[in-house]
Amino acid sequence: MSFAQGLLEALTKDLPLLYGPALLAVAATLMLWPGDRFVGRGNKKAWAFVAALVLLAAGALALTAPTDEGFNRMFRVDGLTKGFQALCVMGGLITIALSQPQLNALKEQTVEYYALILFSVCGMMLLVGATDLVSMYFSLELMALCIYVLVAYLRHQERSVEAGLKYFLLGAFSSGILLYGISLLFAAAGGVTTNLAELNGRLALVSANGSLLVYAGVLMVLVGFAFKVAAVPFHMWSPDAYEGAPTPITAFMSMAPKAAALGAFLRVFGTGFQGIASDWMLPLAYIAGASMVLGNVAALRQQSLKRLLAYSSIAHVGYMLLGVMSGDAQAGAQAIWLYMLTYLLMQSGAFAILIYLQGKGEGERIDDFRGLGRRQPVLAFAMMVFLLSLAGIPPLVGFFSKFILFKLAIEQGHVALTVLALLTSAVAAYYYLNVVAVMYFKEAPETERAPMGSLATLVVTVSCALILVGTFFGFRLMDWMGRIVLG
Amino acid sequence: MIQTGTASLEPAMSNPVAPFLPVLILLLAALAMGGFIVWASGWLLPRLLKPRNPQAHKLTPYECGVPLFQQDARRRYNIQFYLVAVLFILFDVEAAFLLPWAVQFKSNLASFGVMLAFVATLLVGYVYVWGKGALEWER
Repeated sequence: MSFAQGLLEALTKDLPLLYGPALLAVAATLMLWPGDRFVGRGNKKAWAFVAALVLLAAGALALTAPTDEGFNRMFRVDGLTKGFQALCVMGGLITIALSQPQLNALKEQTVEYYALILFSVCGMMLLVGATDLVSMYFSLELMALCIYVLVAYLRHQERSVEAGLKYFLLGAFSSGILLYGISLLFAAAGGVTTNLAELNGRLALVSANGSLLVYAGVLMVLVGFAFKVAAVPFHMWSPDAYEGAPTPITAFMSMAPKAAALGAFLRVFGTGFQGIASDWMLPLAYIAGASMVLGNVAALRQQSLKRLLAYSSIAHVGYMLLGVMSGDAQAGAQAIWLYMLTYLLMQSGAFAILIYLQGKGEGERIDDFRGLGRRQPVLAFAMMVFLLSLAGIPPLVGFFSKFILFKLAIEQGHVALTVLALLTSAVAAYYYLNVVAVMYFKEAPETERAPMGSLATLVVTVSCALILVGTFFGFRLMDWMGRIVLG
Repeated sequence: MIQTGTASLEPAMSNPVAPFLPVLILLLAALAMGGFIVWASGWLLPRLLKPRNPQAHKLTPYECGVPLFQQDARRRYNIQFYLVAVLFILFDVEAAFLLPWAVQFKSNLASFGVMLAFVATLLVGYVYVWGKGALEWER
């Protein structure tokens, strides 16, 4: 087959798999140049609408993509890809909606902000479908590089720049470890392939006889991924980066990249390296357990709600890693997807309220929530729903997603870890309920009410409504997530 | 369970590190050679050849009269240096991609088109950088 024929086949057969991410990349490039030339300094706000439309279109294209494998088995579209791609697109859309008040107030609306979000969502969409360590690594980098810049976006604020630098240095370091691990695995498998499925078969042969090379390689890949999802003990960057980043970007980081990185985690460990599971299962169990304990215990002492949410997201990642450890990859993927979906709803609502209060010059500290129940009862009620759902208190959806995940973990025999997860969930209830108590039972000086932006209201209303509605369907959710089919 | 090496495997998957042995040997040879040259030129040969005429002025970093650093050596550099460095790496990587392509190139129109698309992508970035004024030193 000649090269031209191969190219033609790639364009007709492979490219439809990538229409979604490709649209994002092309649109973002055109927005930067020449698009931005035609938009005046005062009208940069318009890019928010363009970016949101592009994201919607890309999401629709991704969901309707054919279920197939392409690009020399580097990229695969299946239920896992589509489900997590949808989460990433939702995360991007919510972020654009939440960014408006702050960007307008600071007069920081630029085309680059939206282009970077589109590029990073493009990287995430590629990441969850990557079935080759090379394509996985490069999409991971595309995603991460854009987020480094977004974290440091408010370049006149020292805090934002500091957070960006810390995140960048640690992220670059972890990428190096990941890449070294990949190269070790490549060598251990005979130096012929980086495809996950093929690699698994070869590594299983090597590992059966005990190989330090495989062990070291898979551990380094594990460390690289643990860095990206901020699991203990590789979580150090996350509280600082979360606190310093512009709050909408903090929301973004806790939703979309986390979903994408967990999707890749599932792809690499849940389905890919099953043949060498004995090499990584125990370290992963320690990472998951440490994340649950440290995330929840450290969150107890936080004064800033942003840091509290950062530490609690470390704990949530610990829970979700239980799904990665499941021997039944499909059930694990479904449980993680549902958990991530509900987590995304709760986080977006909580961050919308946080950003609203921040716009009034308060809101970051938990003390700023004093008396919110009296000042703004509806808002306080919504915040209570989000926090209770995050804590996993029945009958809210947060409970069901936790229940399904823990049930799976017990079925798979991870009893000790599940008990630890349950105990730490009880710890988590304390700091979530503490915020609720501060809202309702602490008096605050009377302050005037500022109007809430319509987009933020929309986000809060929709996520609160979905959580409450989801409550009545509970186990029906399981049918829904049954669509996340691997293969 | 975990043992060093993969010596016990069948020949088909024999030690994957083995092909890199020549690289190791080369590395050791290079280290030995480099070490010898440094030792010989920095210690052995001067000891044999140079005249001994010690002066305090010879210990200063510059013998030609340029004043030493009077203040703190940690100074702020113009941010433009970093920008130029980043842009240089960007287009340097482009050249790194072009080279293997050029070696393999056999008047194949399709592969020419693919590389054209790649260069066009970078061109958009170049125009963007130019339009932002990142290439102008004085602003």
